[in-house]
Amino acid sequence: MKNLLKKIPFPIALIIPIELVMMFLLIFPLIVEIWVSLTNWTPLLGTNWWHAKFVWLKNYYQIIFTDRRFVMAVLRTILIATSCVVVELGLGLLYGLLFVRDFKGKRIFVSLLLLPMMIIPLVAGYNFFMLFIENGPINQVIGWIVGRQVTLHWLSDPTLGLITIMVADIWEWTPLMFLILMAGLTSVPQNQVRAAVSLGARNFQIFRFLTIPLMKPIILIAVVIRGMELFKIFDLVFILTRGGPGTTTETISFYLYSAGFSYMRMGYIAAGAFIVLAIFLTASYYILKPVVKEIA
Amino acid sequence: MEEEKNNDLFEQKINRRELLKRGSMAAGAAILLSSGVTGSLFAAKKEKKAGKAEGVKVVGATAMLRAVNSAKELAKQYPGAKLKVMVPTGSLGNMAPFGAQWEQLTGVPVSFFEAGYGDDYSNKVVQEAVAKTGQFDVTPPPPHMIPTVVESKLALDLTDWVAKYDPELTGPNGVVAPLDKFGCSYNGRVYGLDTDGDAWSLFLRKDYLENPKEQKNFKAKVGYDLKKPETWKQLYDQVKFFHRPDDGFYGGIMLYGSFYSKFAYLQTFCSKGNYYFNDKMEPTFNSKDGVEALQYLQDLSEFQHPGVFSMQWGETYKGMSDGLAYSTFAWPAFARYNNKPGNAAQNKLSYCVTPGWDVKGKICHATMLPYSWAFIVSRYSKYPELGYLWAQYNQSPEISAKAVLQDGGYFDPFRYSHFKDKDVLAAYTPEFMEVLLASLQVSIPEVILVGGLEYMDLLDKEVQAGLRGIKTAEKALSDAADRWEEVTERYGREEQLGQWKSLKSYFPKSVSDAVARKG
Repeated sequence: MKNLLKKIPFPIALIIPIELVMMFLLIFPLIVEIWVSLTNWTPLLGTNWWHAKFVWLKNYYQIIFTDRRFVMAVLRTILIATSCVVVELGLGLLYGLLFVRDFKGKRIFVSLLLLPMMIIPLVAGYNFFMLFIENGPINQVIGWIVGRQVTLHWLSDPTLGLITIMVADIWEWTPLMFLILMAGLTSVPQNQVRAAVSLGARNFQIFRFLTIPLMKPIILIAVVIRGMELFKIFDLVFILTRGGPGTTTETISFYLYSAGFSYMRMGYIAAGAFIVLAIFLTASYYILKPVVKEIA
Repeated sequence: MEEEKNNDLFEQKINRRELLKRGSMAAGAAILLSSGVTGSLFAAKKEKKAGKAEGVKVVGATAMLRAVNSAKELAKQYPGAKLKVMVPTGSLGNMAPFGAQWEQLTGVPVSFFEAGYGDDYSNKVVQEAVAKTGQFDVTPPPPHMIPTVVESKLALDLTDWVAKYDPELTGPNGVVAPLDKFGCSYNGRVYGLDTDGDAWSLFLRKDYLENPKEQKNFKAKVGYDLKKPETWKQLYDQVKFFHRPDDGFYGGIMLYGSFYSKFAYLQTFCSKGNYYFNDKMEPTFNSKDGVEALQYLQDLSEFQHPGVFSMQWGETYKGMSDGLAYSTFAWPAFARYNNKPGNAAQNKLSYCVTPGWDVKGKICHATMLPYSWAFIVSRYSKYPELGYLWAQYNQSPEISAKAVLQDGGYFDPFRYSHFKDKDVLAAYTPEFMEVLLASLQVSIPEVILVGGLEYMDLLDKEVQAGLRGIKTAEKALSDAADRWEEVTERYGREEQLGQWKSLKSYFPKSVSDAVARKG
């Protein structure tokens, strides 16, 4: 042990305690959750989690093969995540292109553009709740446009409910995409752009064949970051639709929340969380593979 | 050069090796001490320490006096004792104003802290069952959580203390039956002291109901007199008659949204003379009665405010207070707040018991009693008996009559004595109090079983799907029944059946008589 300690450089040794704490905070709950996912533990049994009955992979099997509600929640979450990422990416890139050059008042406009991101998600969600409620301003404005009273059930229709959730998320998180992509745009080497211009390339050609390929790692990272957040989307679903009507706007997080905290099925949701983790890790791996290769 | 050994810690020179060694040991110890496992182990030890206090002589002619006198004596065994009460957000007004008096009378300070509302609060309660921290002595979960807090070994059995200290759960000042049972008991034992009479009532616009012109037109159109509806059919006729969307006035602004629709459904279904389960623990709503009840709500939804599927109770209350609709179902506090001077709806509301169906010649009323609150005593409390006595004090006829009048709270009258108290009558209006008493007496419980929250949520989802036209009524209820069967199988049919038989015995006579008439 003394010889081992002698080999550790002193600066590294200083951070070992905090690293041990961090690892404990990460690993211990992970081990507990793995254990719980293999049991039928629920507080309703009146037993501690370490006394719960071991059921092997029963929870995993039930979730994947018999729980239609979970499968639909996953598919719905993928739909929301994909749609929002695509729109946020497009809008973020558009804003980035608009703001990449300096102009008078740019800082003020950028600050205004970033405001939605700084609002607490639940507050933003409630604002959208008030906007989209049946007698709210959105229906009123549509009514003015079409010339008659319009009552669209934005929050209690399966399709419109999903659209409302997506609109709220896009409004709130496009600024984050904008920030990341603008950083990417400003880091495009200008000598290559000048060279392309001198060779007669048009703006669109420069954007398509130079800017986008150079920005590919940044774009992929932005997609993974937003995709990761969207996979966990909960607050907007909770405040806007509560997963309803029925279960038609439930996302994974909302379903696991219901199953865990309303139904107290802790073992079950632990297994669900690992399944979701596996899905996301697999997707992230394949999305980021080209980026990792490039960096390597 | 040898290092000098020195056993005095403060005299030792600390080198890098020693620093790392001791730092790692300290970090490891800190991690272990703060870890949940260790905490749970300590809590388990604490559970063993919490034992029964030496008996005190029970003195006092009333529930409040018995609680106060006994607490004063008991407190001598626990010098320095302090009670902590965890409350749902927004209910402090029903308890905090009486804390000072309690302390003055007993010498035991009591403090309160809010812990969220709805799911947040329920989660905090269940977290305590897992963490066993003893962070509160008493808390009032809703009765539908009583099986949860009992089976998770959080709530203490209060039956012996109830027998000893007599909180007057029954008798002339008692909790209105059947709330005295399903608001307090589980499997025949008392685990909670119910402190809120949360029965729904039907609220109507008095200025429309008693308008001679409206009455004349109604009779001409429908063929009978306009009066407070006794049956669901009569309510439907009135809601349809008063539905005037072009004027911005709707027949109803009822609670049809997620979480609430199950309450609207269950009272409609039960009033056809039905229980939730049969004697084999099979759900009964996937039946002709169940389908008709859901179809009724579907038909009624045509004459509702367009926002009813999204609104929470705050929005429906506001809409009704602002005069947007003729009718709504609401909890009792709605009457008190609307009765306040300056409120736009003051003197414009009339009230009646939830309508019923004609079951073999007699109308069966079954009013939903969603939520309510019942004090439980935590098993991990350092002073459980003192905690119980505080709960008895706050829930006593004398104190609770004042508690339900406080602003900043939402507890409502629940004892027979409240219906004779002049201040309570003035606050809620004598007309409403008459209706509330009748509503409480025909109130039906939520699904107060292990897994009750799951049963209720699964039903709510399917009722929502039916109301929104995503599924037919038959399909929605059939799917709900399948989900209920899965829950029953998971918890064990025999165990659930035992609990259900107990809960069934707490249903009001109006329902049990209707079930008997049907045969």
